[in-house]
Amino acid sequence: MPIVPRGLVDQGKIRVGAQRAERALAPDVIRIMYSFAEDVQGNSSLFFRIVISDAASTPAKLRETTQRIISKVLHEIRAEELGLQTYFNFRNKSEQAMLRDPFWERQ
Amino acid sequence: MPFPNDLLEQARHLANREPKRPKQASLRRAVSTAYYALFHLLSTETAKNWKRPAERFTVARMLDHAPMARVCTAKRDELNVQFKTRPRPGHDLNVFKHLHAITNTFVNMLQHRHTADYNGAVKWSRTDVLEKIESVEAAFQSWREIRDEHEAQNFLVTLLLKERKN
Repeated sequence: MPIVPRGLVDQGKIRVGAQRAERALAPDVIRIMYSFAEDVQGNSSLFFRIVISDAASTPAKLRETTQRIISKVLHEIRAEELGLQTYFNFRNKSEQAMLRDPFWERQ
Repeated sequence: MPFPNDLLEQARHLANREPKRPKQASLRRAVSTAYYALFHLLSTETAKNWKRPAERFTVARMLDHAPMARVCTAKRDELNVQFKTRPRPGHDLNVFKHLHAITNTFVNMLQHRHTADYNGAVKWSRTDVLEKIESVEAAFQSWREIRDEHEAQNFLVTLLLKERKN
């Protein structure tokens, strides 16, 4: 997969795709945020931060939930056409309430 | 594979060490340990192919993180292209899917381990860490499914390459 610099990526398509995924995955998904950065291999990458509901993150459901979310987001942003590496991090609503991490809130 | 399995068990132990308020130190070490479980699984399996047991630890030490990540990235992307051709369902496709899961997990976990070990600004949650551990557990299971397959053994040899194989 060719790796392209961030400036050459259609960021509007990514934003719209992420919004579409967020709507489709509600109520399990509360919000989807992302940022651009180089990964450890030096590749332009998209780092997703996804807040999920407490109900969707129980031990019995966690793997199925996150796999479904990753698959939907990659599909909606057309990841393979972007030429970007993608990485995903998750936390649930209660954890974010406890951590009060501004990076995980919409600005 | 006692050592890689022990590391994976230890990662889960660290993730659940503090029942109410997990310490960032425990969570970060859990992510790092889960990555190393997968790293050692692949390096141990590669070294097993060395005929003389006495030198297998030395062979395992030949494996290096960055070249392995490059090989895994290349293999994963090659498989993505192959999947686009809509290959016929069957045994071969199942093997490729398992190999894709292993390579993709390695690439992801190298990145997460790097963040966990070196970026103190990032806060981890237990949910996130357990998700990472479960992805490694799934990669272990995938390896158990395909370890005797030609494609899997060929992949192991490429991990020793210092440059991309193509």
